[in-house]
Amino acid sequence: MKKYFIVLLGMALMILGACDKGSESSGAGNEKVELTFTTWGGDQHIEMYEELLKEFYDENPNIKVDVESIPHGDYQQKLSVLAAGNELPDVGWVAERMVPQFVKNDILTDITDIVEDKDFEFDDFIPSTLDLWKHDGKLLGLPFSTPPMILYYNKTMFEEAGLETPNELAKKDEWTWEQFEKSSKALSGGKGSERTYGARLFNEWTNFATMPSHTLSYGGKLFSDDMTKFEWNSTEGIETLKMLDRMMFKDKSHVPPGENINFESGNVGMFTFMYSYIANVRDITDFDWDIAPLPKGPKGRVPLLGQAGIAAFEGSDHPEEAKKLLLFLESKTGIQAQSSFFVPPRKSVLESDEFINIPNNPSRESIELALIDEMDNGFTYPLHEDWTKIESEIINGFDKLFSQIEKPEGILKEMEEKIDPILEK
Amino acid sequence: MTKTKLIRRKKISNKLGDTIGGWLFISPMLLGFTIFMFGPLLYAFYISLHDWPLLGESFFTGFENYQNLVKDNSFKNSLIVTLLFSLGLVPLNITLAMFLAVLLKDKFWGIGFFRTAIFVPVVTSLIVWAIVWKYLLAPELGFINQFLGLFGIEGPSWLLNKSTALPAVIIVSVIKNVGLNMILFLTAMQQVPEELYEAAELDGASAFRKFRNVTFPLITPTIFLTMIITTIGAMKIFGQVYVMTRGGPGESTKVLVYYIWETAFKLFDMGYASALAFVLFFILLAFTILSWVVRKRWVFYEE
Repeated sequence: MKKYFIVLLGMALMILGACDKGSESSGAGNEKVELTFTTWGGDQHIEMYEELLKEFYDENPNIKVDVESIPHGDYQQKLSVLAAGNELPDVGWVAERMVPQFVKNDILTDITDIVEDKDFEFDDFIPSTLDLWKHDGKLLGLPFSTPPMILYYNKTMFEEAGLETPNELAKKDEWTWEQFEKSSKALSGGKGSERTYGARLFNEWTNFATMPSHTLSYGGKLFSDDMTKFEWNSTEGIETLKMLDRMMFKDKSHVPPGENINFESGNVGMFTFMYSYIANVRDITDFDWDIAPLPKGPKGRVPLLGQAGIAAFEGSDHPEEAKKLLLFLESKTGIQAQSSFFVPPRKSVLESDEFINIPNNPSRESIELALIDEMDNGFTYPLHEDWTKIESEIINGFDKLFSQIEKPEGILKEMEEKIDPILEK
Repeated sequence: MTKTKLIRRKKISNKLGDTIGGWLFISPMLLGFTIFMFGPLLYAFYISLHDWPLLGESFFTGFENYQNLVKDNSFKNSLIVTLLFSLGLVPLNITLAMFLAVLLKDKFWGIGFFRTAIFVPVVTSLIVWAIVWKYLLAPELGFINQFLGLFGIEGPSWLLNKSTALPAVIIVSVIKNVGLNMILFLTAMQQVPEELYEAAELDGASAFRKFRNVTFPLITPTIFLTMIITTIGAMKIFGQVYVMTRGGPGESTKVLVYYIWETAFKLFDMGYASALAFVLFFILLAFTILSWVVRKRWVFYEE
């Protein structure tokens, strides 16, 4: 007992001593600083950052960065809670739809002054990628990823079924949603571990980001232009949900909701998601794969442009160091490293060979067809400061479709009834 | 005269000393409770009287949040779901636990294995448990439906079907926690004096009669305890729902605590969420008091 007590006392003294040292050296300007950097990235993204940060440590030996991952679906909510508790990270990823709320909450730091640095080459950023981050003459963050949604497909499955691949069809301008549905059906079948599905349009069952593309490519809308009315409840919107309903429950050509079979398993023919998902796909050796643009409709092809950026948060204990980190991550070196998973917002990197020639990447032709040519076609997420509430209602709607509680018409009507009051506020 | 006075004073000061000593002894618990439980509880009540967004300014609204409760269909639904969940879980859990305890009461070869097997889920992380079951219950490729498929049965999408989602969550929760109640029953049953059974045997009592007239009355204090703990646990259920169904499909598994969480951390309406939490608090309080009062009627052999 006594022994324990002495050990404990010793430890307590050591800790006190360490604290003492820390406060002493802070005056010398060589203080050890720990920064937190939050992302919703996967292991490979975090590994990439840790590799990249080694260079940052060489320049700033006194700074240490802790890279944290928060699941994508919880990110906005979690940061809001952290903000309420004054526990925000120093620097972190921010997706486009989080920006209005974060601006309203005043938690993004103005970084206008730091980008003026000549070596930073601010002019290198493609101007349209910056609009999201400018508010009242302030610059509140910088993008690192500006991808259109793309379609990953299992080339081997298409070849074995004797079907034309999405890219072949896209080149002939025949890659339509109708064709997509047909191909999906043709790719589906089998039993048990052999069971294959033509398509998966949801990465997580709460992420409906592909669905608006269908509506929009038929001329429909999600919201009114001034964001005061929910307009997905339209013929086009109903058609979108009906297609999903058909594929899931009639043709059984879409992975059933609640099932966890992914593209990498080799049993899913087509999968729509962001370019960043390529981290999981590059390692595939069991089958050939490629990327293609999303299918098109009578009004063209309208993939979601999901922008994500990096911002420094207010209330940091080390605002100077946080800005330094942000500047480094957005520098040419930083964006170049991140471009192994994310479509870069810097022109010089986007046009570089390094962006294309990553081991196990698709061909230059496919990347141009699926990504670069589509950059001007896409739609961006609607922006609203209460986006989490709106999103939650839309997710509830899809949940009803998945569980076949209600018909598409009823679902969209209910969404409208729930979402309009939020927009009117 | 003076002597008795002295004694009395001594007695009084002794009493006072006891009181102080008593308070001192419970002070760690008391301090902890005040700082970490009672304080936040009062603060939550204060919040519940406001329109209190997570970030930004809050406004005093009096009892408006409580008035809104009456009109709130989601709230009514969540009460019903919570009630159904408890009604499903508690009897199933208690009877199964008692049945298992009777089976595993006597020593036989391999008993340790069975007792451990049933108890292991209790020490497993709830989240891990729920995630594994979510996979097992997946609609087409999940183990359970694949298994049913061997017999030509096409199982439903358990967690996406309005009529099977809640029962599925109940059963998963029962399997998770039945081991704890079983252990409590086991200990209680092992304390029943052997001679009572011998006497019953001499009277020619059957195994059922022995359970009905000897074991059961003697373990009623334990039954009472497990029922209270299990019911309160059932009314506070959250983790399984969060992982397995997120309250869906529709609102068919949206229990009260999940609704509170959603209001607070998805819709960021702290005021209303606190009001909801207070309602839950009073329901649990009322339940506990009620069961305490009626316990005299059926709980025997309490010390």
